[in-house]
Amino acid sequence: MAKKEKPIQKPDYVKAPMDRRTFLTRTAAVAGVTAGLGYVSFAPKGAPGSLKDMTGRRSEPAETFFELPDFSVEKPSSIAADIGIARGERSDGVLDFSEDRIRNMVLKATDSLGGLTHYIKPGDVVLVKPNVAFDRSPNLGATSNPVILEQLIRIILADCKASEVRVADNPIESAPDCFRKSGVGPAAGKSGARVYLPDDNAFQTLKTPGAALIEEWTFFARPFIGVDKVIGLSPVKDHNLCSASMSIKNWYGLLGGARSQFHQDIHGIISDLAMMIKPTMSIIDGTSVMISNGPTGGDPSNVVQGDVIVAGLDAVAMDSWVFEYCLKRGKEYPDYLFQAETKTTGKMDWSGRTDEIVG
Amino acid sequence: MAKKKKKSKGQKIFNDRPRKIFRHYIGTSEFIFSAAFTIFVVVMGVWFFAQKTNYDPGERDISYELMLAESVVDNLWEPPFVYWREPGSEVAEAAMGPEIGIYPDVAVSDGWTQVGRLKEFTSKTVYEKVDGQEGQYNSFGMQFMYFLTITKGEIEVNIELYDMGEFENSLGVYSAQRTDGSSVEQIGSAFVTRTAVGGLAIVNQFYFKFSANIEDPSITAHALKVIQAFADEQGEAGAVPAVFGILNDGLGFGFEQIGYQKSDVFQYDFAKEFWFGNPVGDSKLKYFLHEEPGESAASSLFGQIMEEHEFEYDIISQEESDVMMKHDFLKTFNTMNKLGSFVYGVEGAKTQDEAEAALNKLKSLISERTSQ
Repeated sequence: MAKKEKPIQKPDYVKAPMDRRTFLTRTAAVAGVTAGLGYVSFAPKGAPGSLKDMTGRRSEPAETFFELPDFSVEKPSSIAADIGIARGERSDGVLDFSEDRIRNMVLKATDSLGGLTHYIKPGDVVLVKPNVAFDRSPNLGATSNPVILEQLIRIILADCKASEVRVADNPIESAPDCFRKSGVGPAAGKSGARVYLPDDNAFQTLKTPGAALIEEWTFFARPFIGVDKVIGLSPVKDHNLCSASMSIKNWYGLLGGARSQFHQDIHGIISDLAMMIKPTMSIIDGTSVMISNGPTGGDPSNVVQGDVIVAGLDAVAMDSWVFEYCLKRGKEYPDYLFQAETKTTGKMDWSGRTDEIVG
Repeated sequence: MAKKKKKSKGQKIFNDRPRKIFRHYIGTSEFIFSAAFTIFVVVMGVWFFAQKTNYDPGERDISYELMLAESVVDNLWEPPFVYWREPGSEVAEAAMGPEIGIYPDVAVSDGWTQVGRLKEFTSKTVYEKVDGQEGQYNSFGMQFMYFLTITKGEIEVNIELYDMGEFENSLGVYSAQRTDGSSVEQIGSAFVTRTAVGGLAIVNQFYFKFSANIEDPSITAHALKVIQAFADEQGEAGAVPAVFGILNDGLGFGFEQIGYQKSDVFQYDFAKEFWFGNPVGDSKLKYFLHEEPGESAASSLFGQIMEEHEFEYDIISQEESDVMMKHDFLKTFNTMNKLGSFVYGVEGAKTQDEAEAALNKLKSLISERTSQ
């Protein structure tokens, strides 16, 4: 059978050559489109309409940074002191550090500055940041005193009527082990605080303008969300690298990432920490002082009994006083205090700014 | 040029339906759909270009605070940790023993049991355990650290065992961490300082640190048992450095009177690995000595030290490699000497005679050594 052929659809169609106008029009159109595409592709990055993106990161969303508000509170106008010192009471020459006595000392030290009720209002959410850096028991003095922590939390909840107290730190070692072994975790739980342990999602990038080393650095942010007031609670320790670890050094535990690299400029990083956070108050435990082999210690003979609990609104001044009187190092202050004095409004000269009470 | 013929309404090219453009009637539904679709496309286009690079997950996802508020504490069940056993292994049914690595078995005997696993750290990772103090250990050449926790009743003991590579390194860190005035006793090849929560010890190049959560004599007793067993396993001590022998055997200094400084000796970064000996009763007078690989290296080091010392000391007398000096500020008498590959001297003497007497003792021992 012969193959059936398709009928020609337009048998009388005659293909005509393109006329000049059509040619020019179409050529101009193609050229225009090509030129346009070429421009948006290759024009320098800032040019109008340019889509040039050599790194492929043009569409990357701009990073948002975590911000730490200023947690400081103006002290009462009637208070001249920036450092409150509570000395332990001796009975037959022996210092009494019972729970009641510790509570009294915390109250006396903070009362010298106007009382915690001035700084913490009813309903506030308060973060207490102790030193839980090591998996060590409290007798070795490497971590914050759990007894002082417990009494402080009770005062904040009962006297100040805070709505919540949080306790947080970011040790390099296993955080649950450190909180358990140091006694800080049980003390916090017993007194009604909530412990925030670090995990990978708890960190955000914090911007500290002007800081030399941590202008933008990963920070343990989760405990700070929704917080109204921040109190640091630190021990006094000799330190192998920076001579002494006191209240400013305590904030090191909030840094994330590869923070151990900052040991190469330990004084620089500690002075940056003074810029990083403006706490409501700092409290230093001078009842047991690690005078040698710090910061880890390991031998109770490295720790001597002291007799003070110190509260301060100026961390630079407070650390200077504690360095002189608790560590008994005289006026050979660590370099980071001098650097912190230039970077912040803190002043090392504490003379005339202390108020001392026995009790 | 032939003109293109206008297509008649009835002619079709691609389909067998008339072109819409030539239709006179467009239905209402079609009109509404077209308008709606056009508006939709326009709106999508405007929205698309309005996004630019401003994609922010925070505007899309639920708020962080809401997530926190709605989250619940979820106590996940954690299966008990079971060590891997090859199927069919002979000891598959046997009770799993402790894995304590380099530690002697006696560490987990007599009622003491292991808590968790043995952890090992290198010089690069030891900061995870001793954050802030890793510099001290690394400055003394730390190579590995083995961390073990044992418990008995309410007592929990952390044991840190550092492999410092060489005897002088373990001696150096031990001297740096031992409380001034604490006693040192020798148990076999181990040197031990007891503490209330355990103790410090060195066995050859290894440095032990026991620290417990409470003070109890049983802790120290167990620590000594572990140290002694470890020392027995390690065998005889390695070769003791010659310099240590001069101080220990030659000058009769006890272990606790001998110190080793790895770096920054005299606060000079080029001065390293010096030994020091303190006579009993006088905390200021010190003997020091250091052995270089050869005589020219010793001469070079001697010259460098003297160059720096001239800023702080008055030179009283100087022969080729023997210098007597007085400190400008402290007013103590010091010497700096070189003999063969040894750089040595005394510092902190109250009088010149005292310095010379101490120096002569040391010099005779070094002369004997160099003539051997």
